Amino acid sequence: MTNQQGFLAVAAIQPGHLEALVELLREVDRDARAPRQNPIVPFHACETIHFCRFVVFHPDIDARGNPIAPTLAFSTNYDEPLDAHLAEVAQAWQTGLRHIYAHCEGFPAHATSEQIVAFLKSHSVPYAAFYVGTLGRTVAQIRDEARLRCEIEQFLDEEQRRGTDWPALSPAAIRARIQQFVGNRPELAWSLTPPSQSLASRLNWFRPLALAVAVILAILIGSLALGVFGWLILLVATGALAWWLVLRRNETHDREHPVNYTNDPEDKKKIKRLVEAEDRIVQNQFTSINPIKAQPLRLVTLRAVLFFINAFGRYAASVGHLSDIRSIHFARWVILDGGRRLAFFSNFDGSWENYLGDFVDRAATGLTAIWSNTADFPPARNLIHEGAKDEQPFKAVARHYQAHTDVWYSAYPELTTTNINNNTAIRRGLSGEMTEDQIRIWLKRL
Amino acid sequence: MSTPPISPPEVTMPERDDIQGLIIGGYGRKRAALYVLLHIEMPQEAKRWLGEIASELTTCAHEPDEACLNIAFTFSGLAQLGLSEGTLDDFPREFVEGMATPHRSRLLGDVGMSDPQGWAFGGPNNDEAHVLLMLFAHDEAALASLRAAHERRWRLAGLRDIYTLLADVPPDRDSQRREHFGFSDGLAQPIVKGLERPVERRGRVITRSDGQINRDTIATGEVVLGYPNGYGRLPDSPAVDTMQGTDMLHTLPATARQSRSQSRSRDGQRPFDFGRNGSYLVFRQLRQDVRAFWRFVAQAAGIDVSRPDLLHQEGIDAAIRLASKMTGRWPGGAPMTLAPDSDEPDKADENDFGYRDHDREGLKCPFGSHVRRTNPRDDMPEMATAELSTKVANLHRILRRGRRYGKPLCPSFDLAEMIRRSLDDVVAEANADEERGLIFACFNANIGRQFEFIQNTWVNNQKFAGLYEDADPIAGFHDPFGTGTEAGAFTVPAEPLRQRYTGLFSWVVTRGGAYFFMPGVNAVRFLAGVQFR
Repeated sequence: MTNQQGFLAVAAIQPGHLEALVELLREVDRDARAPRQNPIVPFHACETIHFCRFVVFHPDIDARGNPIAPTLAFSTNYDEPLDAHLAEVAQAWQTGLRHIYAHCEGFPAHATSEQIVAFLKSHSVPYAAFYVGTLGRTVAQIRDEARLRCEIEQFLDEEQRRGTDWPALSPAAIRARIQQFVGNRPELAWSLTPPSQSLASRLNWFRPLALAVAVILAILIGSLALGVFGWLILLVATGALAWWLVLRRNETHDREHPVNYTNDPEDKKKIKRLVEAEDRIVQNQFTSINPIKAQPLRLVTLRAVLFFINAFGRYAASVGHLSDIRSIHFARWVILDGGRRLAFFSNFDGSWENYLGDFVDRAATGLTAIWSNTADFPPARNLIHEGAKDEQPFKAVARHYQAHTDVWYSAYPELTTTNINNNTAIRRGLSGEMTEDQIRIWLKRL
Repeated sequence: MSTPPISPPEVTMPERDDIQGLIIGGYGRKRAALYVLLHIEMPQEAKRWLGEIASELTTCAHEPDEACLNIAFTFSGLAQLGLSEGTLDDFPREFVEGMATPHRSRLLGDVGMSDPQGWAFGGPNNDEAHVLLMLFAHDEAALASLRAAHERRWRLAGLRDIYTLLADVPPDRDSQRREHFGFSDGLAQPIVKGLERPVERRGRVITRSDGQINRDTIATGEVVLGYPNGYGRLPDSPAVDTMQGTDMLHTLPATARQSRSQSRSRDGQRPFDFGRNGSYLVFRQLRQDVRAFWRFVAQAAGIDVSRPDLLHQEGIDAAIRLASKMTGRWPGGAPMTLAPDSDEPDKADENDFGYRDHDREGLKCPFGSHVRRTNPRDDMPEMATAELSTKVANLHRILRRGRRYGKPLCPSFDLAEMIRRSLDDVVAEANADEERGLIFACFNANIGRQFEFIQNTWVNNQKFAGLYEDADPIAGFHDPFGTGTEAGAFTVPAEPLRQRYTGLFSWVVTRGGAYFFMPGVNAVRFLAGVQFR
């Protein structure tokens, strides 16, 4: 099993180069949508990329009113290890990246692929939280398993047309027929062995969680051993109470100064441009860049919330859903500009309206805990209540801080997370012992 | 600690005498209907006409015996009538942009043959529609004289009729409930809170949702502006300022938005609620290729379509069964989930049912079928419980008020005959230029969350409920991402193995459409008195 990871490089744009860069990226994006003909950036030449995007963050103002200079963000969701991924990108896209980064500060002229890797690494920004909906699948595996499922379905359609009387056959007999079909096709033979599961990479994936648990345990045991457990409890309780009191004061202040962008005429124009890029393939992307509130407690709270989401969200991720929402391939939260802005990158199935509606209806709590620390979010109560539940203002503020994604690429534009996970389950069912009941359920995946 | 100033929206009974009547019912007893799209040439004259019409509009309070009349406006129509820029800005993006933008066409499946470029109205090549006038009468003759009377009046007011759609006049109740493919339609309507229709049962007048919280009941604000919606909030509503139409301002109520609703204190400047008792009307002309539909079904069911003379009962039964699987209900109306083996007439109007308990695997009603995806009820994909599913599904409901147009392929709706005529090329010749289909009309308070969501996330979504290539087999568009090869699939879950049908294409084609706002009667009066800028 190979883990997916998220990489992000943020580079300052040279003064006076903004327009030229945006124009160049527009051209690159046009290519990204025309598979396999990418003269500037040959996306398909990269086998390690699930999704990637370039986003220009235009000049902005933080919550304290200080200006933020424009930057170029390059984000990928890739198959580990990072070095191999960056080496592949730098080699395959050398010419394109040279053109693009020529507009950024500090990029060497005529950069070699080694220099490109070094540049990307030195500009990388770690994420605060990361979520994967299709855990442990490489790009190649996702594509292969999709092809496998297609072949099996076509085989079954063909049999159906020929008049095969399925009800007369036992589930085991049908499975054997499918196994035989796959076995007879050399190009599909790989599927008869289940995907490998390396314990090391699995453990690696859960490292943030293990770390969080270890730290908590160490503090508990340490304080018990030192006989200061009571003091520790007192300290934590006092800290929590103080935090809560300040938070409530902040929230009351926010409530008295509400902002609502519903049907805002300026935003209407902006959204009209945003949606031009939407609903062209099965998936959509979302980039947002939100100023973090100036209240000092907000950044600390946000970091803590994201720390927990990153550590414990991996439990949910390991079974393929985020708060019961199955439509997200990858999601990532990054704190930028020394704690002044929160960037969010996600790749999801279906429309924006469906995605945001899911959040309101089923994940409002986690969402409010994160974004109520950013500007203009609908007022929250006790960090997790209300906020995103206020449907129209919430959707409006999400659009208001949504960034235009200049370039977006998907390695498998026709597959949902449900499809991907189902395809793997189909492949697993081709090998190993199964009971009659298991086979019956497995056949329903087709 | 101070208490934040959030007050829950006031729950009031809908004002039936101000809400236009088409929202409470489809005027079933008026068999004849006419839809006229008007273009405003002279705004001042149009407003005088509007002032007269306003008092003749049918409301939810009373359905006149003779005729019914309702009116709605496009965004440009409201602009023509002189609503201020501020008020126009208050309208939602969907309504402002209209139905025929490139992105919206992708969302709605209006591509290929349904491309707005080829529309009969509402598209970029058509005259701009401003007003939709809807006339209802008992029969064709009554409708004709009603039309003549109105035509004189709108012409005098300088309104130009740019498009008219005449509904088919059904001969009886059974025919009235059928759409052109031959299935009963309009069965699964939500009950709008406070707008329940009284039903007489055993001499006692009751309302459909009496006595229990019906899982089909939706909040008033899901359809009508000015009342709490499914989230317990007031839907955003356009407001009017004191600078316009001063003599008519008294007709409008004060804005009743939540105190925290508007940031730029727009409420302060525009204190009157224009949207209250209004609703967004989605209006589309959908052509149905009945012969193509039944030819496909017949072939998929194993009938030799080149030999209609050899058609036998067994083949007809198989075709009807497959078409019913595609629909999710039998032609008579009985839901597949409750009547998996045959059409049961006593279940024809059954609407209080779910899928989760009896049909979790879709063995009776396929996941991909029309009714299961347009209203997934208690078994929405990914929902943990029946309650959550019902709650969320009910945030995506619409109130349908459509009628069919064009003569049915087989007026008796005898499906054996329908199939025979579909396969017979001589009929094809005779029927060549006969167009038929559905005048789709639905009401909702949030076009993006309701109509467009249903159309995109459910109807045209090939990935619905974990499927791969299956859009709605009845109403779906099978090439949403423009690969150029329109060929969808339909999967029928079965034991031990599914049946899958491929090669589906769009037998429902969009011929035109527009988004309208149907204001309350007082708001229409206000429009009539708005001083022209």
